[in-house]
Amino acid sequence: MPIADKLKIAYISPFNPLQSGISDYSETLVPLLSEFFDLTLYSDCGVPSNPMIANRFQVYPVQYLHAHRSSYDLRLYQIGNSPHHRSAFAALRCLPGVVVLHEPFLHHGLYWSSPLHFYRRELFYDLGRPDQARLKQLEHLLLNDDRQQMINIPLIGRILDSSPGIVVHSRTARKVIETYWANSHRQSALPEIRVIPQLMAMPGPYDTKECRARFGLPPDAFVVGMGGVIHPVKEPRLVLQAFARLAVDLPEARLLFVGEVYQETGDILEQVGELGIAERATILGRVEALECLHQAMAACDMIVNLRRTTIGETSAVALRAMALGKPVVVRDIGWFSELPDDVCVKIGPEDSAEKLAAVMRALAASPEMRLRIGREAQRYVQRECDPSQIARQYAEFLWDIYWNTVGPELRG
Amino acid sequence: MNLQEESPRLPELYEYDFRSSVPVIGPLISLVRRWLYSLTAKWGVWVVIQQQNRINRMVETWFRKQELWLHEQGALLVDLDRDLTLLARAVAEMEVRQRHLAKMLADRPLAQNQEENV
Repeated sequence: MPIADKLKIAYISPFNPLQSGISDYSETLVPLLSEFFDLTLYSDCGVPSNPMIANRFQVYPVQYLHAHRSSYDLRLYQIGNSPHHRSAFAALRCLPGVVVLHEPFLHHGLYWSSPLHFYRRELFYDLGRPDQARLKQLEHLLLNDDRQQMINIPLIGRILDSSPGIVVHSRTARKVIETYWANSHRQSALPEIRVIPQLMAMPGPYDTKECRARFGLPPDAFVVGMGGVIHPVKEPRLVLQAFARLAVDLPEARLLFVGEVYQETGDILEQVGELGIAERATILGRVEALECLHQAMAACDMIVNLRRTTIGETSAVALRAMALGKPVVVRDIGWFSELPDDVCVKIGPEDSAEKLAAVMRALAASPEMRLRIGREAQRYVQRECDPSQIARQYAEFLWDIYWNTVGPELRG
Repeated sequence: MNLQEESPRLPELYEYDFRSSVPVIGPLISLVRRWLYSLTAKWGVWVVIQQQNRINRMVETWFRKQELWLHEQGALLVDLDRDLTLLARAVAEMEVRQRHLAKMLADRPLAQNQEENV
């Protein structure tokens, strides 16, 4: 290898205080990745709220990338389906780089990165120029959050055309990209895609009784938790219905919702009241520090993390719960299907509240089963999602991309 | 894309139909009005209506051509955007090679570079 130095990498990502799962992801990854590369960070977060990031790294606004374009060997974009990536979307148009697609589906991110032409430009890029009726139909599907209908047009065409390499977190995401590619008849070659699992640092340990005391939960009750943003796609209504069934048999049981309740979910307190479980449900809303989220989840006996439809995303909340040694109930779809059967409890894609209630009852009745699944889950996260290993996989991939780009004649 | 289906055609101009809402003698009033109109203005108005209809059809045809042209230009812009994206990728790859080459040259001993220049 003729170049002994570390590669200089521009790392483009949201960081806290921008409230995004990718901010937390990058804050874990960046210090480890800096062992392999000379990193400069680009983010529109202002001053990072994490002193580990603010004190150790130079952070520039994303638009400075244009002025610094010749200073780096590679650019690494962390891209997700949220408007936090607006500047990164814009930079990607003329400054391509390796892209980490946290979801291979960018409709919401691009649509809510107003103005509207920003979204339509990418829609036209993928579809050609659709007629007005088709355009209206697509926007209608988006506003109704009909992900199943839109997954065939994931709005990643430009990224596939411009990026030398793409990182995804699951085989499901990889399949979404390859299927889209096969159907879109593009001119350029499919970029190299590497599956690098979602990283998850092991939190805790936490004392369950202390955590319960903090959130006012009885020390001996069976507590069902649901974490992360509360959005209809995560089926909060179904969880409430299943819990209401459980509460008939187990009046001491408690339900804890921790995470921002999205407007689309409707009035969750009203739903809780309708089902007659108002006394047994605690709605915490968004908790600010990650530590607080960990404590809330540690206070639970089980965590429910369902998806009605999937856009190829992984769930950091599910992995967080698994890292805490909690049994997690998921639907057998997308990335969740890739999890081994012994590290979580899977229900079918169409299973109803009755089935979920049966799973809750089974877990409530068997502390041994909870312990066994929780331990296997913890082992899985330690084995597959260890941040140091993930950083090493990133390093290997980025060096591969670098040498592929440089070409054999210059490798020396 | 069928642009005609998307935008409705302009309506044709037509003569005013004289009516009256007065009870009993209303039909008589409208008959008188129609008679007076046919006596004084009908032929002049008819010519103006024909002229205006022709102008409207010309304007409509022109707008439809413009709409089609804009649609074609839009499609062309999409193609150019795709070409620019591929170009941006090629430029970015070239920049990586250029930096690599510069580093290789910087790493070589000065004497070796001078020797090769001679």
